[in-house]
Amino acid sequence: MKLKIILLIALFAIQLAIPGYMIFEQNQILTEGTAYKFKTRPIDPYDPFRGRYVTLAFEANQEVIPVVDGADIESEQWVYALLGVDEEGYAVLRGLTDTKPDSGQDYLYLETYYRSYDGGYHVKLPFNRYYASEKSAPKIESAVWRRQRDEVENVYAVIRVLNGKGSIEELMVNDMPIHEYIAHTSE
Amino acid sequence: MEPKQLTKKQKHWLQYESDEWVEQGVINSQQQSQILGRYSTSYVESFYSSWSSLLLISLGAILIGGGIVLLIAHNWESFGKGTRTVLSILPLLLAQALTWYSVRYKPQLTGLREASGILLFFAVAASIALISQTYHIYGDLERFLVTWLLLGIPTLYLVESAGVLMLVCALILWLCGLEREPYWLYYLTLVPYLYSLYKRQRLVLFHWALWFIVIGTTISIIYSVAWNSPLDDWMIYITLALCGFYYSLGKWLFGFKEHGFWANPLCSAGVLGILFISLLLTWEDFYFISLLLTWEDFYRYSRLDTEANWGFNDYLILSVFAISIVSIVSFLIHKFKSLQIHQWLLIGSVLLAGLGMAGFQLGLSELVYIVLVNVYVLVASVVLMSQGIRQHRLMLLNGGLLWFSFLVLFRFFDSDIPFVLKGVVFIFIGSAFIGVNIWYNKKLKQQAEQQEGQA
Repeated sequence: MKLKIILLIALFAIQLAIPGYMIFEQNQILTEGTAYKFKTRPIDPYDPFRGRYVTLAFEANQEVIPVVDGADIESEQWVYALLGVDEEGYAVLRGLTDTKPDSGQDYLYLETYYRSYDGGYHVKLPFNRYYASEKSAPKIESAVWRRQRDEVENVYAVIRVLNGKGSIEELMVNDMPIHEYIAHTSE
Repeated sequence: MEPKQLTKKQKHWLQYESDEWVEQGVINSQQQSQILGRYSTSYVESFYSSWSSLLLISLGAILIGGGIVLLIAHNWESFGKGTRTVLSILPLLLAQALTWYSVRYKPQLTGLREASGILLFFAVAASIALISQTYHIYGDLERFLVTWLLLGIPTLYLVESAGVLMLVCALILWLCGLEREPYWLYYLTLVPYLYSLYKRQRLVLFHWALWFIVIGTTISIIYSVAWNSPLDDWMIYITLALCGFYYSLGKWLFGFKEHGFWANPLCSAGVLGILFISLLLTWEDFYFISLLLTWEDFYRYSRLDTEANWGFNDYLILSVFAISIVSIVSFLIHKFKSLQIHQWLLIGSVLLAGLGMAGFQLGLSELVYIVLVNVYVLVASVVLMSQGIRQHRLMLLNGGLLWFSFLVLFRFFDSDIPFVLKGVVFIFIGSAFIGVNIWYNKKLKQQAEQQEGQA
């Protein structure tokens, strides 16, 4: 019985430690990470456990990312994607490598998807879910879609990046947080 | 002072004994009522001990757990991160507190243990899910389920809840059907628990869990080799061997005494698989089946694809195949004397797999193979029927009849056989089916009457 009680306490601790660690890690990325703007377009699906969210279809998902010279990379392999910023200030993936970059260089640790004919790879950015309530999620989607048809809209996610991991800080439309934007447009 | 808890049976005994003491003058009736007042039958235990109440409590706990998940999935945007973090941990802490109270202070209350175990199981999932939602952590259902499962298995061992066992089994089954990975290996972690259930004679639960294991493992293995695997052309043989393995393992573990369909999942699932696959092998033109299962001309292509990518899962399944064959052979050797002819024939169906693989290598004509399989099923099903009659076992008789009838039914779809012949054969077999059953029931009745007469 005594052993069982000790094991039970250990189990409780682990059960609490997992969400605890998730919170700690995300907070660390959000406070210490560098902010990048990833161009995106949201669509609205649903998860039975975690509720409504908008899937972020990043532009980077459509692009072919080149392989850094000397790197040995295959499909469905975990690699380091080097981050940079273009002239307009948006994040770009500059190249894929299989060796961990030096400190000072921001990168994302992600999985390659499939190989392109020119030797580069398609990748999927992992932070692709922006959770919103049942009310907001469809609004976010329709607002962004509607506006995109009329004019060139500036939709992006601010992602904080630290040690290869990215976390969504905010979803922005025309440099305005999405909830503000929805409130603004529905007025 | 709080009265001590007794079961109804114990209280009844005490009441009976103390009545005698009063009669004999050992104590007076006032003392008797004082003594009896010190003990109380636990309302909770008597109420919770029955299966139906236990089921209701488990259902209640599952509903509450589901409710928590839904409330959390709702997503309260108006709350800040801090509030939502507290809300995500709170159900977990409450469930842990209830579990702690149940295990530490009231281990005898099955109902409380069930409820707290199930709630804890769901609270873990809810807390992970809400943290993911609050921080927009990307969604990977597989990883989520695995984390949930890994926290659920120790919960099962420490709380010993039947509800958690079923939920863990269902979660593994879900994973088995979700990805082409060997998630059935997680069932191995349940073996010590199942063994203890078996020891404690908690057989209903044991059988249920075993059904889950058999179904999950089979789905996972078929799914993993169904296509795009170097083993895909061997799928039908691997499944057949697996079913033969289930059958012999069932006989080995539970003995040769009949336990009924549900009570021996290994044997029952094994027989069903053997009958089904052996019937598939009787087809010459696989077109009809390939509509359903997209297997084409399995016999003509029964070779391993050595150039394809071999992964851990492929090697594992190949080992399962080998272990199945070895186990079947050693079972046959060990139980040589106790095996009856119909058991030989059922297990012998696995030979059809060996014949298929060897036949391809040796250049045996496809037609010869098909004819051999048809003859085998015909003979085996007839033997099954006659054994059923001789041993007065209706299940065996009907099993043989079904096997036989399906063989005939399948031939109905073969276009080469003339319609008149098919019609006559069908009427003949239909009548035989009904006739044998009526005759058999009559015979049973006569026997019963004879026995009554003798008594």
